[in-house]
Amino acid sequence: MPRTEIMKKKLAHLALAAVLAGSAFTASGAVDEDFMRNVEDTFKSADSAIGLKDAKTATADARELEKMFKEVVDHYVKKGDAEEGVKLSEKSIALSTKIVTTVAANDFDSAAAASAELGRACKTCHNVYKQD
Amino acid sequence: MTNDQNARRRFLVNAGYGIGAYAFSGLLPGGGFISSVQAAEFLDPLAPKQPHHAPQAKAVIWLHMAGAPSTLDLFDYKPDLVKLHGQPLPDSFSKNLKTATDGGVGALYATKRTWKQHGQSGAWFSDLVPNLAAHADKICFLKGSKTEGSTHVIASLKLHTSGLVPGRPALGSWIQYGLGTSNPDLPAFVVLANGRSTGGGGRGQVIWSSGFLPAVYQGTAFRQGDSPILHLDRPAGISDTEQKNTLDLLKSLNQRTAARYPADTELEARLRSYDLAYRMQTSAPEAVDLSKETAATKAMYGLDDKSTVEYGTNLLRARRLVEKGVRFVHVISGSPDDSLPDWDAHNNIEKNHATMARLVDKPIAGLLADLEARGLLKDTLVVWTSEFGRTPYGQTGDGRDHNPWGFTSWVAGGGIKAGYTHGATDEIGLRAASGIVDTYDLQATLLYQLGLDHRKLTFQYQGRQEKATTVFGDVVKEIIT
Repeated sequence: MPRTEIMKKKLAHLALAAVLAGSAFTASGAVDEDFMRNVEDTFKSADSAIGLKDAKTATADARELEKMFKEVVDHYVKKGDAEEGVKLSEKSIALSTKIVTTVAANDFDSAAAASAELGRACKTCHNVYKQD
Repeated sequence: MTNDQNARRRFLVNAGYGIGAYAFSGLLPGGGFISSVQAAEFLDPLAPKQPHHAPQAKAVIWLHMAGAPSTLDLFDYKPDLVKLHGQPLPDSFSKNLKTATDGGVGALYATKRTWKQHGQSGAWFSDLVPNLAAHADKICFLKGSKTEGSTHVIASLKLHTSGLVPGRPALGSWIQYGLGTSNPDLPAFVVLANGRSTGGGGRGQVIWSSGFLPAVYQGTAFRQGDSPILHLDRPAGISDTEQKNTLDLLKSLNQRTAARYPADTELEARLRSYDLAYRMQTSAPEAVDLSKETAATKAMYGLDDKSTVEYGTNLLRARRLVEKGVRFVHVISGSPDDSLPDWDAHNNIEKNHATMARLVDKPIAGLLADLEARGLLKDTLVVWTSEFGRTPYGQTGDGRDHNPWGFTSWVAGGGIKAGYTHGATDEIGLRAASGIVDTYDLQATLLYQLGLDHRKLTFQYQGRQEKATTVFGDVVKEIIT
């Protein structure tokens, strides 16, 4: 087999492994540092979109945040002894939903206020659970 | 590009410079400020801009204690730590604590400090800062300060730029961007560092960078000595007229290129820096010339003492710069010689903190007294802070490790409550327990005092609207008068 073909096969295997790894991550719902970094980046994107009055991106990001915070709720429920974590994640879902509804009503001021409140919820949760 | 387009751009650029001259003085023909950030940027990125709301402060003197002092040995008195000295860190305190340092977690460690309350406020000060203690009633302590990251570089980036990796603008850059300059002959953001040691990290150019903001907003580092800016002096044998003619030619050539590449902020910054440098040949040496200061003033800053002269000189310069309209002076404390890694006392904290506290104590006390006597303290924010604090548990037997979880910062002047303490750490000073102030909150509060709303101070970069303190940060209303 030519060397280029071998390389192609190896790359294909690597790509498949990467996809499977990604699926496994999603399926296991691992709430780890990488996951939380994704949450933060999605939140920053949503906040920016609100500021720029980009309804499409703000809505898509806020919907994604709803899903992510549901995983965070599950994580704290499974972990146990984390009432504050559950409470703050549920609050974060509600605030993400508020962003969706206020953006749909073209009320970007209220969406910005919800986003600021979401930032506070994040910091409060970090103060308790984030390990430096 | 057609000649017509060139001509149109040249007209706009020239018009911008013409109006920019008025803008530098803060006024447009007919009176009034330039009201919109965008308009001001178009005309002149450093033109004075309207704040978002009425400010209580005009300037910031940011005292960065590089290397991270143990505030447990300066301001945060913990009798329980003294009682528990030598015992292991109790589990109740270490829950969820991720210690990622070389030395591990040693036994709780109390140094040989003596403590006393001072002023009407009754604030605690250790024997390491006797001069500063005399100003207890000017200070607002933030004893529930916290941050993220246990390494100097990351935590220092967060403290100054609200980011954990390089690339975001420093607070001083955001302030320049938001308010412009109030003295066109000096940089609006000046950095003064002393010491030669690079130990402790987190004190390089990246913490006063303009990041993704246009390069014109970056901090300007002043050197020690009579000539504060490297290569600023006119070369020997060149007359003022010759230099002026050369610079005029250079400006004209650069303006042509700038007109072709209007998005090139580096060139725009260079153009302005040539102009500014020419004016600064006179203004900068004068700003740092201490010859007209009285002997009493110099003594107040510790200029008559070998151990305080370098840092004291920087603080006296900081006062002079603020007096002349510089908005943000970033003063970085460094070890007086190469024997210490700044405040980074992983071992022999007694020697380290005795030297470093002596370096800053009298000069900072002098700065507070001098600012107040001149009526400048009321609208100047003096901020004492560091990338993090140090642990109540020991390291290597006689040192302390990094502590991002709870430490003390303080602010004086600029409409902040004087003689007030906000927040607290737990019984041993390990974690912020109440009144938690993250670096985002500190920055948001300082911006607020300067008339800027941290959520409205924005810059679009790579398609995203970036905010001064990212998506986090709240103004700490409790500490505002």
